Order: sequence, then C-alpha cells, then structure tokens
Amino acid sequence: MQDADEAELVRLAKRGNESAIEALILRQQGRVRAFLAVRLHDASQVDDLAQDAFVIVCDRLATFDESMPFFPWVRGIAHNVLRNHLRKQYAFATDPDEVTKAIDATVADRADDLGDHDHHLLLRRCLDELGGNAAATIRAHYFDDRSLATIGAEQGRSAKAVAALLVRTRKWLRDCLHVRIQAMGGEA
Amino acid sequence: MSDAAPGEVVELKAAFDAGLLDAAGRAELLRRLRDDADARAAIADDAMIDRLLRFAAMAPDASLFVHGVRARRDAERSGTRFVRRVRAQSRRRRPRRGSRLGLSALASLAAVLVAMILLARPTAPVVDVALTVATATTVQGLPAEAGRALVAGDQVDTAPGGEAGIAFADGSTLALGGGTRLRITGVLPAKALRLDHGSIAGDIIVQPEGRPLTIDTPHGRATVIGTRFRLTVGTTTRLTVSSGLVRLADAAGARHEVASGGEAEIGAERTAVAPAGPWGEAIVHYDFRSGGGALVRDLARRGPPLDLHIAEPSSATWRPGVGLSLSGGGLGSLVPADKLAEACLASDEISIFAVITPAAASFSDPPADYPKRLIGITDGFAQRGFLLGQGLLNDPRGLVAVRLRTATSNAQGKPSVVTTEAHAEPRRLSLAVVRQRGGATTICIDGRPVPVQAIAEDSDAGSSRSPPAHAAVLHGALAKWRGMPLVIGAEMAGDQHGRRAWSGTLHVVAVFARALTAEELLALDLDATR
Repeated sequence: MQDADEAELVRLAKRGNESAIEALILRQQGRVRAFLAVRLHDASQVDDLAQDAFVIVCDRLATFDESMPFFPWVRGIAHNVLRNHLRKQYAFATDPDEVTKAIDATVADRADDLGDHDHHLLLRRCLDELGGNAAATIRAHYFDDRSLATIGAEQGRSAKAVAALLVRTRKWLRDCLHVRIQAMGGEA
Repeated sequence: MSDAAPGEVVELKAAFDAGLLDAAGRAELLRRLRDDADARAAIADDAMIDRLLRFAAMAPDASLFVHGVRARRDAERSGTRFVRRVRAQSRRRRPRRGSRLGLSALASLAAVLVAMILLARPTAPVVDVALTVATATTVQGLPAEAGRALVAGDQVDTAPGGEAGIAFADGSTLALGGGTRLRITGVLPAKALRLDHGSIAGDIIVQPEGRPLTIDTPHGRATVIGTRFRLTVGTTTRLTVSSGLVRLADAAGARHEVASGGEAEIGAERTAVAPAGPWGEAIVHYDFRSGGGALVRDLARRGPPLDLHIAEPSSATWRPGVGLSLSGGGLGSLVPADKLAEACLASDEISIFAVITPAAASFSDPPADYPKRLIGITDGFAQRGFLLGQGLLNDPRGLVAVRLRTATSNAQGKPSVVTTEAHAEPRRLSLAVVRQRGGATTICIDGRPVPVQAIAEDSDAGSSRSPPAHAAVLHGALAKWRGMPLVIGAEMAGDQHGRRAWSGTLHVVAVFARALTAEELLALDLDATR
C-alpha cells in the first residue's frame, strides 16, 4: 500500500479504503506537521492541530477533486485549522503578548519561503553536519531542555553569550536548510 | 533603513525568548518588527528555525501520529452513534398523548407486575469499579472495606502505612500506597482519575481506541493506553513505566512519551524525562562521567545492581564530567555476573556498548600482553563467557576483538570475531558488538558497522579466517557463562605476560541482552558521545 502511486491512493481513499487513507496520512503528515511547526509559537500544539486537520481531510475526502494535486488541498485545510486556532488563542488570551503576536505575524508572512518540505527531517541532517560546541549547545538547549544559564555555567560563559551562540548556530542551520531545499529543486 | 544590523535585532529577539529583555528592550524590538523590513526578515528566519528545532526535539513519530488520527476519527464516529442511540431510545419511551388506562388494563398491568416480582431472579448490580484491598482506607471520608463498589465521584484516601487496591471490570488494577488520595472522576466511557498526592501502581489492560485512562495530577496529566506504571505525586509528579506507553503532559502543555523502562518528572523547575529503551533495557549500565571512590554503581534497572569495585585505587583516577582513567588496573564485580549471563543465555543475543578513550600505553605495551581487556565475563585465562578486547597477542594495533563462549567454542570463547582494520585509536570513540540469535556478529565503531572476520585462533597470525564482511558468524548458542564475575579494564589476576590491563578513560559501558538495531546503536552513540 505504501508504494502505490498517490493518485491511486487518493482514489481508493475516496472509496473509503482505510489502508489507503492511513497511507495518505503517513505520506503527508511530515510536511503538514512542519508547515504548522514553523507557524506555531508552541511546538506542543503542532500535533493536535495536525491531527484535527487530517480528521477534516478524511471527512471531506469525498469532495476532493482528483484532477488537482493533493497536498495543497491538505495544506489549505491545515492552514484554516491554524487560522481558527490562532484567532481563538488571541481572542481569549487575557494578556496577549504584543511581541509574540508581531513575531507570529512576521513568520506567517515569510514561512512560505521555506516551501513544502519535511523540514524537520532536513534539519536533522543539517544537525548531523554540525559539530563541536555549537552542536553540543543546540542539543543541550533544545533536546535536553537545559536553560541558557545552566549551559553557560557548564561552558564557562554567560547566558547572554550562549544565546548569541544559539543565534549564530540557527543562522548556520537556516543556510544549511536552504542549500538542502535548493538541492531538492524547491524554493529556498 | 535599519538602525542596527539585523543580526543584532535577532539577538534582541533571543533575549526576549530567554526572558532577559526589559521593557525598553521589548519596546525597541516591537518598533523594529513594525518599521524595519530587514529586521523582520531576520527575526522571522530565526524564529522559524527555533520552532523547527523545538518540534524536532519532541521526536515526532509518524506511526504514533497516524494512530492518533485514527483514534480521533473513531471517537467522533462512536460519539455520533451514541447520540443517535440515545435519541432513538427517547423516542421509544415517550408516552402517547391522550392514552388512558381502563380498569381492565390496570388489572393486567398488576398481574404482570406480580408475575415479575414472583418470577424475577435477583440480579447482582453491574459493578465497574471496586475496592479489592482496603487497609486504613476511607471512601468519601468513611472507613471502607474490600469489596466496596466505587462510582464516579468517589474519593479514596489511604492513611500513611495503609494501602488499597482497585479493580476495574475490564481487569485493570491499581494499587494505592500509603498516604494517597485518589479520586475517580470518570468510569464510562473512559476511565478518568485524579491523583492529588501519594502513589499508585497501575496494571492497565489495553484500553479501547480513543478511550485511554487519564490521570490528572496537580502538575499535569498522564494518558495510559495499556501499561504497567507507577505514578507518585508530591511536590512533583514522577512516572515510571515498566511496560507499554504513557503520555505525560505538563501544566504548560508540553507532552512527553514515556515508554517501557522510561521515567519522567513534571512540576519541577524543568521537566525531566529519562530516556527509555534502549538505555532502559540495559542489563548492566555504568556511566563513569560521574562517580567517585572505589565503587562504580550499576545504573541498570534490570535485576539487582551489579556494582563494580576498583581493585587498585591507585591505578584509577576519576575525572568528573569525563570518566574514569585506568592505568594498569581494572575493576570487577564481587559477585558472579549471573543476571547478565542468564539474560544473554536466554535470548542467545548480546549487545555490548562502550565509549572509551584509549591511552597511548594501550598500543605500546609488550606485544604478548594483548588483547587488552575492555569488558568481559571472565574467570581469568582458563574460561570466560565473553570478552571485548583491544589488540591481539603480538599485534598491539587497535584491532577490536570479541570472544563469545558458545556451545561449540572453546572455553576461552574462540573462534573470535575481529575487525580487519585497527579502529581503536587514542581518541574518544564508541565501540559496539552485536550478536544476533543464530550467531551473526557485528562490530560497530562510532555507531557504524566495520568489516570483520571470524578467526579460529586470534593469537595465531596464520590461523584460518572467514572472508571480510560486515558480519561474521560464530556458531552455537551462547553457553556456560554463569558463575563468573564481570570485569572491566584488566583480568583480576595475570599470567606470565601480565594482566592484559587496558589504559585509557572509560566514559560509558552498557550491555544488553538483545541485538540492538543500527538505529538504536546510532542513538546510543549520539547520546553517549555528546
């Protein structure tokens, strides 16, 4: 099932074939989750919203026009789920942070530049190329959930210096991601 | 045009993310976001990578995600069916307007009722939850005994030193420790509990899809699908999973998957999740990056700890945060390593993982004092269970050799499997040996398999060898490992050539009773060599 052409999967899924439906979800989930991850301030909300989006996709499969490409349709649904979520979030937040809202808006304007890719997998490959203290700092902060102060104490630096190192490393990762996306023939 | 380089604005944003920005800094950042296109672009680029990293750190699993979508769709469908059923039942029960019962109808009804009373057999009420054990236990503040049925809304308290047991209709059970308050907040369609303080140990039958057992604590929520676990609530919530999977969400909404062998703690200053398998499956596990004194503690959660004693403290130097440096001596268990022996003999598999930094002396000792003992179950030179060594007799180069005693090997575990190249070098590296049931044996350096050969007698340069390949087969099931200690770094007693003492720094050593996959070895390598 996993090797079937996507058009064939969509055709079978529209007829209610559960294996085809799940195969489609498996194929699309990486890009949808990356799409949401880039646009959401809180990473823990990504999978909730992505699953909501795919439930809607499954409910509306019968209405999908098979002559059109599938992922843009799925992405459109995910985008609506995201918009509704952000609207509720800002409407009900007792003290919406203006800086966070402004950053979210800025990201929303620019996120399309990254194109539709499984970014977190590409990012993992860039992380594999990263070495030395930069890699250790990224791992400590993001994967081991250590604070800047704790990392700084271990490295003999101030928290501010660790933050600056993270900024430089993220820029390197951004450039690496661009190179990999361009190599795939996508937008960068 | 921007007032300062976009890079400086990104650092301003980084300070905001870290909570280090004062009001003036926030105002400046906001102004730049609104007025400076270059700054906006730089901040957006940085924010996107930051968000992708945070998402990557959650280790998103594709198959679990699909499972989650399936569960949501099932929950939607079953909710819709339930609503239809309730509406249908309501329509059937609604009385017809204008109906009247005549005397004859009343008499008939009375007859039916009498018959029902006379003929009806007493039926036991359906009990979904009940106390099975109750020592110093109250329910809703009143003393309770075993056998008491429980319903949604009941609060069960055990006194310090008390205990209680709860059983559900599907066979799931909970054991409450002393000083525990547990509230049953829901039973059907899904079990829901609240643990205010104390501890519970659960043995939960796999729950229907879309209806996991949820346990709220003051610090978050645990979602249990079918699992053995222990949950303890005090100033934090601590979870240990023996088998299955529990999802733990903290108050901030961050979610963690805790699998078999894993632990997690929420509500502390930061959430801590101890890695699950494969570390959680190690039969013995030594982390030399922290420690001191003459005892090296076994961190493995399988079986009684097999601690190691440093035989000659003068030959060992602790380097905090780095490891234990050895020069001329070794360490070993004071009791036989039978928990490891039995586990490996039962599975007929083994994975040995070590992160080491060999010293120059490990390559320059008298040539007869090889192979250097890295780790083994060994009773000296006469017999052993297994040995992972560096170098060969009269060949001090950094070949890596493994001997495994099987039903068809000799007592020293030969034929052995040896790397074709000298991969052990005076640098920090990881070594792994994996033997699968059936005998296929691989050696990995820094997480990647290297060419190996099976050699009949590794002390004889002219001995027969198998062709180089990424795996060599040692025939026969693993056998006769019991009754011998675990040693690291040297034999406990030497022969005329020495003790085969390895020099260098030990960082991490772990042994598993199954063949780890390539992905697991890479994960161990990344984790242990950071």
